[in-house]
Amino acid sequence: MEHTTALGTAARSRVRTQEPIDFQEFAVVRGGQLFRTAFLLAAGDSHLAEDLVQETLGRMFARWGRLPRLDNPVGYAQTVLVNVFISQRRKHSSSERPTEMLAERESSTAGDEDPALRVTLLAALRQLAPQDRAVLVLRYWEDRSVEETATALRLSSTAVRSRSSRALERLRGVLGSSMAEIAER
Amino acid sequence: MSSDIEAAFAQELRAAAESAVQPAPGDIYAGAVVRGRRIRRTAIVKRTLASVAALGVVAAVGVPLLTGGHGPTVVGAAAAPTVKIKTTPTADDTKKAAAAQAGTAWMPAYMEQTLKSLLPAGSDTSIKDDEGDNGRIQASVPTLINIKGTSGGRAQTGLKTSTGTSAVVLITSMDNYQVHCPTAAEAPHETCTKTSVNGGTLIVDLGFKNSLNGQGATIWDVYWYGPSGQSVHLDEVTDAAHAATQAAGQALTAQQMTAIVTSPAWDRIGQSLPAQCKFGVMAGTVNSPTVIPGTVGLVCATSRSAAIPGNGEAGISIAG
Repeated sequence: MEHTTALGTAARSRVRTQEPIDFQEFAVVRGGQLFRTAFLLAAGDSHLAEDLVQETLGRMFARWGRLPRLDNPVGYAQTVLVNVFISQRRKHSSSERPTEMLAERESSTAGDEDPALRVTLLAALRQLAPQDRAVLVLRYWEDRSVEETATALRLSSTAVRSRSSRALERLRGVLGSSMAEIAER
Repeated sequence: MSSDIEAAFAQELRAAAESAVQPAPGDIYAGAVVRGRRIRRTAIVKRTLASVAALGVVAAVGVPLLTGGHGPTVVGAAAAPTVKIKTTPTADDTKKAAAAQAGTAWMPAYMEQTLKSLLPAGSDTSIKDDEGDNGRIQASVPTLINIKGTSGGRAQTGLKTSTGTSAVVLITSMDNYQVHCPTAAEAPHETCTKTSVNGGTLIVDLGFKNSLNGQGATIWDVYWYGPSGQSVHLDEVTDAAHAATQAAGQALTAQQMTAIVTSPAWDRIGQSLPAQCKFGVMAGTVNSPTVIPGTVGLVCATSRSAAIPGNGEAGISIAG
């Protein structure tokens, strides 16, 4: 949920108009959206998601004085987030193994119709390679175009398309009947 | 996979994202600041110590500055500076760089002389040889100065006492962003004060590379934000390995650093620097109303491709 305080509205406006903004404002206003993206990248691991967001904003903080020169600090933050996620997963890849079994379902507090399906989806995302997961999150959550996704991930557009298609196929295989359930919703 | 399934997948993904229980914004912010400070300080240590080491030279500054008098005060001075243009790939770029150089050519020498003049009394700024007759390492040429066409100038030098070696970087700029003192939770081993001085703001931040546990190189930052928008930043880094004790390794005291950054002598540079230009600077027409004061025909670039190469840096580098 976006913050709708006067502070938040003013900061968002300033982000859009490229005027200098305070880092704290930026972190408060954009932190929520970044966390949601991180939550999907982390496949529902909220601790990892918070870690990713703090690292992303930490890197932003470290060079905040130069950020007004960026065309799009929000997009920059999202790109940093994805890069942090992929580099962290790469570092930890030796100790991570995809599981054949879906992770145990977690309780959800959102008032959605089918939290179980949501948890199943997150568990299925967890089985994807980090870069494939990032492609899906950018394409279907961030609504980025193929070209924008390719730029953020430093891939070719062709690679993004093929990874996206392959990842969705993989999800369909993992989710089985749940995927059909998603399609029927 | 059909677009219907893709749309349904996107919808379910949104639902999953919205289901996330968010941490408090304050927690995210606080964690980010701690990490950001660590990143920034690591960068400062690398920048200062590594680049001074790359010069292969270290000046000596008098022990009396800090410890009350154990020997002569010596500061190595820059040799006759040489000017080199960093990037001149095309004739057009050469012209633009030359314009930038002409507008800021006086700054390196001015910065160097000003910094020397502001060092504590008794400092020796004479040039030393790298090796003396007895084989001992002497203090030598310490100064590296860069002038950025867009945001300011930088003077860097090494200062040495009998108890340690410090790297000192002085930056003058017209950036409008001000740093903030960390909270006690963010940096429990750091002492930071913010005061109003002469219509401006003075921030004295004394800490370490790792301000959470007080470990690593000692980093002292002093910032001066003048009333006209100018800023002067002096940071002094002493590698803990080179200092008998961390504080004793610092060549300059906080008071001496404060005296340096608040000197009106820096105003001349501040007044001659362009306000922040989004894309850097480029050569303009002499009669252009937007010509940046103190420069020869420099204006804010209209695009990145039009800017002088080097992300707006004027490409003037003077190394002693």
